[in-house]
Amino acid sequence: MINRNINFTNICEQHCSFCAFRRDAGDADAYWLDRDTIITKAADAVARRATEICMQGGLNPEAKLNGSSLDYYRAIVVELKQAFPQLHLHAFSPQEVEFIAREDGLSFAAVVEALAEAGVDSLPGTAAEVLDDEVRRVICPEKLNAATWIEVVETALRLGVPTTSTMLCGHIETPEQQIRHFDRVRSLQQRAIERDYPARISEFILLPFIGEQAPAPLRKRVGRDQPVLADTLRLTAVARLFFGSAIVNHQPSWVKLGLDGAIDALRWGCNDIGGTLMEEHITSMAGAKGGTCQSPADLVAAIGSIDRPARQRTTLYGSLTAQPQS
Amino acid sequence: MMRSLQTLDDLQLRLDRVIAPDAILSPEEALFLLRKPTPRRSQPFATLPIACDNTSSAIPSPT
Repeated sequence: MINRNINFTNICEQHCSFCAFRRDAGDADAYWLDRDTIITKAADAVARRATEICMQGGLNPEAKLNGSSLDYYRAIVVELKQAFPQLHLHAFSPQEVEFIAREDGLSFAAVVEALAEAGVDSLPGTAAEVLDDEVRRVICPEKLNAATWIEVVETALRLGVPTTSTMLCGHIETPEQQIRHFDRVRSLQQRAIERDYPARISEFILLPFIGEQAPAPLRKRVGRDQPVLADTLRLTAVARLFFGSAIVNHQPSWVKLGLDGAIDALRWGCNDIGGTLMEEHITSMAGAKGGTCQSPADLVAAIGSIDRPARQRTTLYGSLTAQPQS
Repeated sequence: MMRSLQTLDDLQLRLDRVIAPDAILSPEEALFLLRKPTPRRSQPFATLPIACDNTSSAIPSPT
């Protein structure tokens, strides 16, 4: 998939113990993109044949329009969609939805509905980390809890907004907690199917922990800076078998595993290599070695190196007739 | 299924053969697979960090 990441601010009210990206307002390297810059980045992405903008940011309490967080987020979306109606906008994690709802005193449904009406096409299933509150109390104590993550995603699916799903693995979590996470995501998808919600979880992405630039306490506790590929591949394979027909699309993270590791994951249950990203900050700032962008040609060549056919896709796994070029 | 999944090679074989809609594992089966000692497969895993083909080695400025 040809897509672009836009992380519109690194100013964040939370202090997750795995995050090297967040800054306080006033820090020398804090940033907050204005709407013109966001549009310029999107225009560049369109010129490079992107079909998706993936947009997420820190939780910045100052990011308001007319005193409203929702109005601020909605204004970005409306402006992007007016300029580039053909782009799929994959934007705002369940944590951001919870943040907007909390700031403005709204229900999750009201926030999701308003964002979708403005032009959000799907939500990234990030901020799931491990859906186990014992783990969350250590790695992300200020984040929404597991039940709330599930509630926000279920709300989105019920309202017809597809999501992805993720798990941050390879830190302090146990195999039991990994499987509990899988089970909660699978149960959520099965509820969406049984209740005939108009949207589904489109894919599952394993996100191995990168510790190199992570805050010291967690880095020290985990005891290594880069993922263990063997562990990630085994978890990838088990995830593929565990989700079965409930979630059939599985994507590795080339940013975290490197392109070679991600290609290896295609032999272990993944059927997708992810997007070009064009710019990746959050994981790279944590010390990931996989790079910050890939060209379509490099992705196609890497997929071909293990004799798999490459096919460019849309965000929701539809086909695109044009073949990716360089 | 559990008896046939003794090593990562077996697991990979299963994936190669199946990728089947009905291949859903129970939590107990999944845990069984994750708890096993990490077996060696016939070819060594790639060593991290892995060199990347892309041309952008530096993190671009978000701004």
